[in-house]
Amino acid sequence: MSALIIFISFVLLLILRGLFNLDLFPLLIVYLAVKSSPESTILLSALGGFFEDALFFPNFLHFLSYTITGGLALYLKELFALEEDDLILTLTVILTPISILLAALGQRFFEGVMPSGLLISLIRATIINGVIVFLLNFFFWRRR
Amino acid sequence: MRQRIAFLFLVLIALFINFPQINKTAPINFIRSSIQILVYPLQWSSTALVGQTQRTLGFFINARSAEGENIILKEKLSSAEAQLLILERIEDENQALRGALGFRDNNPYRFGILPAEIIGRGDSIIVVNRGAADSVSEGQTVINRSGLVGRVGEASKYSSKIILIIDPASVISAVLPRTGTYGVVRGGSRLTMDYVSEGASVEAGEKVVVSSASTSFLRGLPIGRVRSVSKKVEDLFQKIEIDPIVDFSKLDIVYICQP
Repeated sequence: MSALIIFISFVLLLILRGLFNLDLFPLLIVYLAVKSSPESTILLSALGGFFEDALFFPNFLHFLSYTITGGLALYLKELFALEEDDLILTLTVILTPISILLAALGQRFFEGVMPSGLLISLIRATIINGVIVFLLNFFFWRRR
Repeated sequence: MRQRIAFLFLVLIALFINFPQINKTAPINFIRSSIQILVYPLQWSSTALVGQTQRTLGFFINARSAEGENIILKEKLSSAEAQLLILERIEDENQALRGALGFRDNNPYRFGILPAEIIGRGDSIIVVNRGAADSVSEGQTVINRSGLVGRVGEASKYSSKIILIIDPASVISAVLPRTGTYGVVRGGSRLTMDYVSEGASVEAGEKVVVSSASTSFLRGLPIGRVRSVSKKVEDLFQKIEIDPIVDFSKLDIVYICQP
């Protein structure tokens, strides 16, 4: 996958995170895991989390959660015998809540509190990311 | 093998960096601040673009009702100006009385307010377009026209992170002005007021403000209104839920209180 597309997506996701508080990075992580090399998946997952935390959070919990999510995405993609676009959708739906949950557990461990509205943000992010992947599949990626 | 090592290495760094002893050190703050400065132009321009688009769309959608709204706003403005005149007179009188009684001049409300626009949103954090270059510093109180919003958690050169009072780690010393009952307001998906003794009279709808015991916020700022009160016979304290006075989903402009 072209480095320019990744860079633009990366910046765009950061801007969208800031503007609308959307958790779209798991989507990029899954996309990288399926389409790109394992090294770049892990590196960009970590970098995404690091930038997001530096900009919008007082700690570095997304750095941790996205890195683990990147590793999980690489592991899980081997378990599912699906076509690429279906695999991206499946992994996004599985990993979006996991990444949020990991960040929440990190907050519980490091700060002693759970984030407010965890369940709602978990459901909201999963639905939004699922719908985005579905639409991307439908309009751009599906070649049938 | 190489990817596993990279993965473990990054996870270890991520774990390490999250320990509070490491998280707030000068090198980490420097990196964080550098990223904020680097991304600031993008954040600022995207916020401006979205804001302008919303305003333009809003103009066309609301054009019909704008005239009526304008008249109402003019009326409200003239009423507010009249109220301000009265308040200024009261302040003069207050000053004169304090002088006559020989009180120390410790009025906490004598501060400048710096308007700031939101350029980024986290779960319980907002990022605003004012930073150390505008004399913003950590710990300053942030309000909007309704009441207490939060405090400055981190100030880089051109932007600052504001920790909202709904942050789960937020704790505010508060008081119910009607009865003078003190308590502690905690953040979370719903604000709660703890340590209010079982015998204290608390009514739904009454105002909760920052108490004079607070060291982080300016006293008297409205926090919210009591939503519900529950008492159990075996408990020493009442369980009070509070509706924040500020609608955090509709925050646009906030004001940073500066000494």
